Amino acid sequence: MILSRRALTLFVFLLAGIASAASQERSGGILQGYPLSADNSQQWKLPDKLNEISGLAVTEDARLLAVTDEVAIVYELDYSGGRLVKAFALGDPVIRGDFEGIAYFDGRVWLVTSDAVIYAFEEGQDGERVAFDRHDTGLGRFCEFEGLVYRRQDEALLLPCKGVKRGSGLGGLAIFAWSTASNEVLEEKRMALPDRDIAAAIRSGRFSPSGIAIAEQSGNLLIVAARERSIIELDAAGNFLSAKVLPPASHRQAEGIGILPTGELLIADEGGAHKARLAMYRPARCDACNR
Amino acid sequence: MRKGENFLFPVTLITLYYAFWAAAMAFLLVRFPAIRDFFPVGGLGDLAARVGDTFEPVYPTVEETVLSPQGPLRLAFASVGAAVLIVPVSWVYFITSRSKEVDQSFVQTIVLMPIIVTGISMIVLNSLALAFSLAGIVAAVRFRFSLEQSSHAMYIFVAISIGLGAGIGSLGVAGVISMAFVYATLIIWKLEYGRSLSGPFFSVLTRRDRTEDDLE
Repeated sequence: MILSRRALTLFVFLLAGIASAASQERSGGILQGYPLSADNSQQWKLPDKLNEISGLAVTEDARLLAVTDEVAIVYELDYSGGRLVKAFALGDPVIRGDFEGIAYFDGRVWLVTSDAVIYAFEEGQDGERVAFDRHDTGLGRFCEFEGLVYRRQDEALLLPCKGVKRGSGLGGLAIFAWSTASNEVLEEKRMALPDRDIAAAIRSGRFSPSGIAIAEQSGNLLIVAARERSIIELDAAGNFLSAKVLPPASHRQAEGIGILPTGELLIADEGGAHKARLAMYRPARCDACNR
Repeated sequence: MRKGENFLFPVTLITLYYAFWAAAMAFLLVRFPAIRDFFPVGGLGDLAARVGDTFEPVYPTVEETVLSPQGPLRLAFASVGAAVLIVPVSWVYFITSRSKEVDQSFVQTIVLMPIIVTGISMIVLNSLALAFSLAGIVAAVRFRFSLEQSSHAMYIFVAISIGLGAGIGSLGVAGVISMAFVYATLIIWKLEYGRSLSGPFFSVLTRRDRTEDDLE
């Protein structure tokens, strides 16, 4: 009798465990749905002017914008035709800075520098020099930043901290939110990066974000790290979901990430002395699509 | 008429001819700007701009194979494989050579060539630009000697084919090329194919009389 009770308890625990595992699988996010293998990707070497590519942004109509380090020039890339469509610049003369991220929403474009200064402007035509608004978020005293993405729900830009500055008092890496409506930092929306989960998943003591993208359907965040050659997925609240290591032969220095409305994952690698690259990974399953 | 005048006239005429057509074209472009699209001018600029702004496709599966840590080892095996497969080809050259003395430098060339081609195939990888550059270099340092017999060109082609096969990681294909060439050459050599048109088969084929020495 006792034995049968124990067996029953064990069976119930077993069922609960299976159910729990199944539920984790269901809520596992989209990253696991992308086989980051060479035979599942299309890759291109980009023109020389994009050698220092530092960020990607995908528009609602599936166009791809990119920015390079040092000069505020925004490029539109036609990934289906394999060419540059247009380029427009900020200011006349073109402003210079350490540009590390680009975001887009509804005709509005934002650039961010490594010291968290945001430049906001309307999308320009080819060869145009556009006017811009400059906002110093004040976050530059805490962190060095890389990557930028617009989160529609909060009407805010998300800025992942790449490295905490000494004496800033910040306990660890975090993703900051900056409201595009009120032009101020949203403290309550700040998300601490789950360091331990990430470290365990990528088997590295550190994780230095270099690009960020949002899966529009789920609100999950995909963050790529150039130095660690890895990519992680967080849910909308910042909880760790999964991680993957990027194939080193294809990704020297992943600086930009974006997700197309049709589900393909885009990763841009800075070229340095070589040519920059753009890689497009197809989702393996339909539930990984981002429609 | 002096010689200077003779020269001056055609030069002037030709210059006027060019000037006339250049002026006519300029007039049309200014008067009717819409026809610019139909004029075949500015193509070089367009081409240069297009090349500068286009993406170059990458073949990541090839890259992952070659750039992997096993890449150099793979190249070493491919080179050895190419050398192994070219050796019978050189033997066939010895066997079928009509002269008593063979050209040593030629033999060494066909033995070494597949090894070099194997390495080049790996270097080129998937880069179109690199392939064109290498083609230019090869053209610049092209063979400075002339081939004594037309059949020697076949040996060069076989050596290149074996090298390419080994370089792209298809030693099997290179092996088939090597064997096909060796056996075909030996058979042709043994049969002395094409030496004479005498014999019942060729008589039927060519419809010639056996006693006929030559065609008129």
